[in-house]
Amino acid sequence: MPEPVLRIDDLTVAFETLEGKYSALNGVDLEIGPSEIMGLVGESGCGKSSLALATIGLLPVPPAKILQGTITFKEDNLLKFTEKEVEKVRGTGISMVFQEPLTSLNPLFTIGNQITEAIDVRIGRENSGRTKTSAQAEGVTWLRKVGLSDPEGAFHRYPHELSGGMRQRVMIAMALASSPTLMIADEPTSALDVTTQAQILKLIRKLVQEVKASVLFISHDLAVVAQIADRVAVMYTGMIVEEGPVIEIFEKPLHGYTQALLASYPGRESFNEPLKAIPGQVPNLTRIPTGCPFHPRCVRAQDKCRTVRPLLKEAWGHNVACVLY
Amino acid sequence: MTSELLRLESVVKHFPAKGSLFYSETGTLSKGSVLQAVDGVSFTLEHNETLGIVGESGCGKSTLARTILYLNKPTSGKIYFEGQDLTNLSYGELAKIRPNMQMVFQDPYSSLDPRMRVKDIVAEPLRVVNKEKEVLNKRVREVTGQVGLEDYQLGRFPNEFSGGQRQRIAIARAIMTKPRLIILDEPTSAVDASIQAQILNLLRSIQEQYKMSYIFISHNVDVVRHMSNRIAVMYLGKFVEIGPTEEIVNSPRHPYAAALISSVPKPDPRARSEMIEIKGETPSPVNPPSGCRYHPRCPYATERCTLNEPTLDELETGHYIACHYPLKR
Repeated sequence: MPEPVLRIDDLTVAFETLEGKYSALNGVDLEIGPSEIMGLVGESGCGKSSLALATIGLLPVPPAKILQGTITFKEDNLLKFTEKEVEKVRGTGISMVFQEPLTSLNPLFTIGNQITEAIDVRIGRENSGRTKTSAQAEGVTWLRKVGLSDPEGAFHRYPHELSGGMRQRVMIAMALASSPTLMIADEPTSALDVTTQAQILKLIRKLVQEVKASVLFISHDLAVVAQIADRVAVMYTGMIVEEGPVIEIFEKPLHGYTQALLASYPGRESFNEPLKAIPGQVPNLTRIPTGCPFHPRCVRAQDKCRTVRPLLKEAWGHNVACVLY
Repeated sequence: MTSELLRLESVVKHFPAKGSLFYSETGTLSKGSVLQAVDGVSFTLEHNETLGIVGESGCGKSTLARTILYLNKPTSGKIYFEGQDLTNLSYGELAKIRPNMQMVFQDPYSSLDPRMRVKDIVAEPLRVVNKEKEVLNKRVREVTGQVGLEDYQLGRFPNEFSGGQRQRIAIARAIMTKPRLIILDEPTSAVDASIQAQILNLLRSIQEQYKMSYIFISHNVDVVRHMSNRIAVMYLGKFVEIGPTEEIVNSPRHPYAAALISSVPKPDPRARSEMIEIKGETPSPVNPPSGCRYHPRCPYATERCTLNEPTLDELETGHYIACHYPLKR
């Protein structure tokens, strides 16, 4: 096993809210290897985005509070870094693509302006002595690489003049133009149509191979993650409940939640058969059930599931947090 | 399936496209441009049948839904509901028919009034036609029970519920008047993955109970397949293909339908390379392409496709395709 690019150990984050302590992350362990696409899948409010923001140092502290754990990126604990040091990592070491490109692009600057900024930052810090003109040429090259039909034209346009799919391509160009070691993509295709989504997924797979970046790909959609990830981590109530190679997770799921989620997906049943629905509701993070957080909804729950909180451990080639293994 | 509930004949809905909100690639619009949201849609819907409509954002699905319910007046065309031509009815006559058609919207966070209690939200469609408190209360308890809400929850406000529960409230409201038709516009896309199956099962069981027809709009082909007897594929305001569910899903004949269906990701990491990529972007519905509207993106297009618009023809029993060169099965 090569050294992981990113290693998260026992990360625990809580928010103080009026309703009480909101436990967004509860002892998350996660490793991403070099040039690996890690798919992080979970329902809304399970802590996926908190994990992404903590990793890139954008978690608002306060109201957030990092209670324990470490985030090791290239042998440094990012949580010990000062704001200045984190800023150096952001953009060059770790970059990010958000769900809604219209809110993450600046509406007042042209696409070219924003992509060369990403490149300038890298040049400035690498001190490679290149001029701004070469940054411009590189910007256009990147716009071509992400599949814009008229990269020179798009370079001079404003974000509102491009379609949603085009804007997301620009975001990906900006994120990769800075040659990051790790790109975090938080629901990058959720605001797009399925045909555009298919194009963007293909593009991300191709480009990260080219620049040899690792990816933390976050999605609520199991099907999307199946299409892009090398490994998959399944998250529930701020905990990773199962993690392993993508084929293993989809073909031999071990955790009750992963099994139930895959079984409830329409497509395998006959027309008159009801879907295998998961009973109950997704718990609120202010009131996480004791023991295994999934036990109230799990068909295989036993007495000890109510009291013992299982830790992620190796079983059958996966990592799974369940007392049954 | 016994008889026809709803029939649309060449329904057209155009909106005036003034100002710069919808401009074309080449510049500003000439005066009098129209956005052709729905452009000549015809189909029939039987009693107790579900028709699925799939298509991408901006293809006119939601406008079509609003037009069927007569929330938009169609620009031209006829809509027959239980044999009556809606386009010929007065406001008062329409009001009598309206309780028979209901809608469930995509986003249960914006479709429920945050300042009304659940019992009042659910009661409202029936209150319009029946003001007796006894009747209303009895029916509210009945339908909320059917969708799985508890009596103690009826005095609460929408913000106290999760997305899945709110969608149950919206469904209870829709069945309050025992309608013949419910239009479901992406009813599970705002709902959590582990809740989606609950909602789909609920919709199927109340359909059985009430013998209603559904028009089920979604971009998720797997969900539509589970729910529908027939599926229609919509592109730029037109149906390009309509037919029995399994035929459409397993062997789509229109190149766009084939590409759309193949683009829907499957929860199967071994099924990665099967996606048919569509070139370019969906053109603007203000200046749609000549001939077949899909021709600029279609790998099989010839000159004929740029000149002549294909009609929706029945190539097999009950399976209609609007293409000069339909794919072989």
